[in-house]
Amino acid sequence: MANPGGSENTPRWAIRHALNQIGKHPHVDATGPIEIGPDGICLTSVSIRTNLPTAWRAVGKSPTGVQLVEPVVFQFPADYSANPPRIYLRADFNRSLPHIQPGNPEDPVEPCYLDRDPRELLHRQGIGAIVNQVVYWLERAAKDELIDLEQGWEPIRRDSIEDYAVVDHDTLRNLVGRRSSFKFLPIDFIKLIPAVETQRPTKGYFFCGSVHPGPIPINIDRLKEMQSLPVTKNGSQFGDSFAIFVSPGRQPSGAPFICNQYIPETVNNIATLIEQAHKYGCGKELEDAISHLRKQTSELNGKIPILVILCARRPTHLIGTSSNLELIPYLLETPVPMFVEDHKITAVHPVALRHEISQNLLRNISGIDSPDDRTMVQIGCGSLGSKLALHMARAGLAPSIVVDNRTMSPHNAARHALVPTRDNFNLLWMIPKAKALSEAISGLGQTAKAVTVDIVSLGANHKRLWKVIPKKAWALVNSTASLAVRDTLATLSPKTMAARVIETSLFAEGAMGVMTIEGPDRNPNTSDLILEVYTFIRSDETLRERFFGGNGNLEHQEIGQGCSSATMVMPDADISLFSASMARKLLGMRQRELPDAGQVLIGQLDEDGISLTWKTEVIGPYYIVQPENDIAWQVRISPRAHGKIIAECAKYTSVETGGIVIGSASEIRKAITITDIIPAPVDSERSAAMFILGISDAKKLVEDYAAPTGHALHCVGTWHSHLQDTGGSTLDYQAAATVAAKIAIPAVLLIKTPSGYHAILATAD
Amino acid sequence: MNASITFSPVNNGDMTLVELESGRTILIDTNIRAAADDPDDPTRDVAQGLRDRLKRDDQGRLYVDVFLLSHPDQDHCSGLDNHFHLGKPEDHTGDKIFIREIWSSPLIFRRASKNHTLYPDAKKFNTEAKRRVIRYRESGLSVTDGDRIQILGRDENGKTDDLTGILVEVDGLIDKVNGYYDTGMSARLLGPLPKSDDECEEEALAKNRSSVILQFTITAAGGSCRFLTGGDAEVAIWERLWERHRNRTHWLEYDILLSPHHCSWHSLSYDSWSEQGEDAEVSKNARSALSQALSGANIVASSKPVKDDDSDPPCIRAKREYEDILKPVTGEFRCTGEYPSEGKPAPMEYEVGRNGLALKSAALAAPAIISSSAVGGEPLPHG
Repeated sequence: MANPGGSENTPRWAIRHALNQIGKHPHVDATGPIEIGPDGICLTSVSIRTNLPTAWRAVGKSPTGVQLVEPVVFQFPADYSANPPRIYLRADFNRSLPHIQPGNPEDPVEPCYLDRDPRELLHRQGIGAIVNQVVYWLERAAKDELIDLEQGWEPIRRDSIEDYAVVDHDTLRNLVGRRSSFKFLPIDFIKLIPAVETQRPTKGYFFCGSVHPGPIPINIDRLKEMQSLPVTKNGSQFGDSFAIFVSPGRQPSGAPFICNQYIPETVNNIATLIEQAHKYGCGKELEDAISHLRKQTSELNGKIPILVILCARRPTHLIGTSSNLELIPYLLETPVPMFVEDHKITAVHPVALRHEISQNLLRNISGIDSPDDRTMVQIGCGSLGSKLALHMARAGLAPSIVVDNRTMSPHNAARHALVPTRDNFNLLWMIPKAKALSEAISGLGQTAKAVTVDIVSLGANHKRLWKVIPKKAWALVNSTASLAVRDTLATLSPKTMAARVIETSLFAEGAMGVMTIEGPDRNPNTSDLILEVYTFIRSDETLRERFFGGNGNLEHQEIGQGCSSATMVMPDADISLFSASMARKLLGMRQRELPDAGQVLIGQLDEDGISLTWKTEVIGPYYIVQPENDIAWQVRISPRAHGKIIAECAKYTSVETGGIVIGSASEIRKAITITDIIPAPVDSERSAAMFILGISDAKKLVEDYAAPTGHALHCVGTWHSHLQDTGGSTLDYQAAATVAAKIAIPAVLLIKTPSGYHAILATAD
Repeated sequence: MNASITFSPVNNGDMTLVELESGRTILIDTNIRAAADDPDDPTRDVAQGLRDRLKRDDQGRLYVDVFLLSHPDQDHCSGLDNHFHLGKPEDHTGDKIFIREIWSSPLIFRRASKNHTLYPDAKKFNTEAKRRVIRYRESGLSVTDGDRIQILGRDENGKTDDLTGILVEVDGLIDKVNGYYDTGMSARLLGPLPKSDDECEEEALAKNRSSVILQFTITAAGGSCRFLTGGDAEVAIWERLWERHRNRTHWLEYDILLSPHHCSWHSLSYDSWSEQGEDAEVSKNARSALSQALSGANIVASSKPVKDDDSDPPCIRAKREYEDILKPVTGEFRCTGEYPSEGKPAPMEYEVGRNGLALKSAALAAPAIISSSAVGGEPLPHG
């Protein structure tokens, strides 16, 4: 590349090359000489032929003032081609067209020729693409077709803005009816008066007002209540006031009044404001509001800033929104009594519109389109739980209730979703986790009730339970990583708590994530599902190592005095890897339905530390049997075990058969869960009247199954078949007693009959 | 919806596609050379370009509503047999373009074949035209797509006397497109000039490449446009047209003129450019016929790039004459071989819309290196 840099008199190669390219454009007539300005900026004027239609050629310009040949200045920055050139049209180009950058009336007009960053276009497709866009822009400007009805209506351009109005667009738009109207809305505001006089705008202060839902009546009493607090030391002043909101109605024909003209912003006093309002079809309403206020304030004194929001109905939706109602706010600081001065005197300032963070806004941005008001409860506001809750909240689908009985402490900063601010004492961080999360969610425009109870304590008291987990709750996400909580939830019958439990947890130092979703009617339930997780992981050697092996143990981390919180050592990003996938799954279910069967999702982080793979297993409902001899207990049989039992019975239709049952017994839940079956030892004896379980390698078989799971899954008894529909025989009860004598935990003698199951609980008592 | 007139870059040849507001398409001439069909040849694949613009009918066939052959020279019908279906509708095979209606002038064929032997494409076209005439004689106006034909200009010796349903006489209007009245189009038939009993006259017309000459009025989106197209008609014909219409010059008005015979000097003068150069004199009457340019008019030369040399067509002198005609009306002259650039011509599309006729802006073609999709135009990251 010869002469890449330029000297003071010759422009750089990059710019000369760019001009070469520009000159090749079919509609570029000529490129002018390059002027080299200070700081390495290079300017050149490019003549672009605008291909005016035949009707306008004789006149030499279009009705919008675009000429046959337009001079366009390309201003290349010193760091071109990293940054794109600025594009300028003539200073006397028609400024009232849409898609023009805001600017001063004396400056050259800058077209807004691309709806993205031109720098990206330059890098993606080169300078040719920028010229193409500018030519296209000029062509549309000539035909007055800059507004593409499909892309949407361009909001009115304000050339200089100092002030803001924060508005929930949806709330305001819902106030627009078929008839034109004026309404008053409460606002609270802050005025900022910069200390340094030279930094102050002409009117002396910056204004930001937050519009609240309404409407409210404005009368002399209401007005008396409005006040501004004194200015503080750092130049800020708070106060409350109101906004006038006017909207258009119908035309005489009955059709809605639509303003399909793109009008430049020319309002600077009340007279011009009223004029503009008439163009939008709400001029009379504004005048009515004004005379109402004049009457109401005739006996008062003072000065009050008020907002006026005009609403224009457009022929198509505004760009980036789905609504065709454009909201256009203005500020006027009016002396009281109001509106007695000449309308040309009171200054009016255009004000920028800002979206209030609202649930609807978040849902729109996240592409969530199914509004619902299902109640989701988040239990556990720790590292995983808080991340899940905030992912949901940012999509506008926050949990309605967040539960955690613990408080925040500095070590949570290592991986909590909430980020501490550097205020004195980090006081925020001594509040309950549930409360902290609830406040964060309210910052996202949604409400989450914070509950600081221990879920385990609710198991016994159903009335208290329903206060925390409403009867009609849709689902419950359990991120407590607590066995006790899981057991409590599993013990609650579907009648007591219908909300399906979704458990989310991390294992193996953050290398594995597990999500379980209860089935319909909470069958399989959350305890069943974790046992299914163990069963699946057991059958995969690599997973098994990580999950049950030495690395899966929790390491204690020194955290402050007197704190015994067991914590996994893992970086925050690892938690986010899993919480993001889980949140995605939750969002999917929230928008559609919970799956129609139980599910177990196991996520694994690869050796490379970045590849995340998820496997989903569907778990059908469990068979639930009450033991004959203790109806307080439940025997739960997994579809897998059931399938193996059926297959075994099919092999032996004329004799009894049986085997060993594997699973887990819980005294807390009073349940024995059978997840799997081990075939009977080879020396077992089968006859029509009985089945004798052999011993030949029984111990080894059982140990082989249980050891890799760290005995999380173990032998919980035996099963055998009856050829008739009979319950436990005397022999069976004797066998049960024998088993009970040998093992400490309750075990089950499961009997498969032609029509179902019977069970005998084998306990020592 | 807008209408459009698209000129394909086919060197010294014609290939003009008119798309009406109704969606109907009229293809005037075609020049699909072997080089254009050759995927390894850089010549622009105009056939594919045409196919990309056409729609398919309910039997899945690409179609044009009308194919008009202005004149049976090779550079007006080359590639016809290769790319278009000629024959009974039910015999349509492959993916050839289906022609619903033909506009043809037997008088022009007669004059042309007196001068020289017809090329195969022209002969096949003529055979097809005759087949469709027979179909009309069999079934009248109840014929359907693929069998329709309109005869432009009464043929000699009463040969077209029984074809009144499909005959358009000179000075008359074509107002039907493929059997339907189309509110967005009507066309005044200005040529071929009627058969003369005078042998010399007929010879002059034949020598001057008697062609179909039409003044289209195309309306769309509330705007309208006059499009004058005259095939290869040369000077004698334009002189006669001026004679015929000097009292109704609006019949020769245009917003866009496809310069006859690829911007040839022979349409404006009897003198030879290569022999007499600047001394060659323009025929005043022919020039008058071709200078009824409306305000802001356009003249298009469908030809190779116009060079300042002896070639003709296209001829630099003709170009200058046309530019002179356009100056007082702030018009523009363009050449298909030079647009958007000489090295890489692309179809030149004009749109008829609310404000009349305007050239559709072309984009700068990507430089050769970047145009390969493997390298340029990187995907857009999101963050």
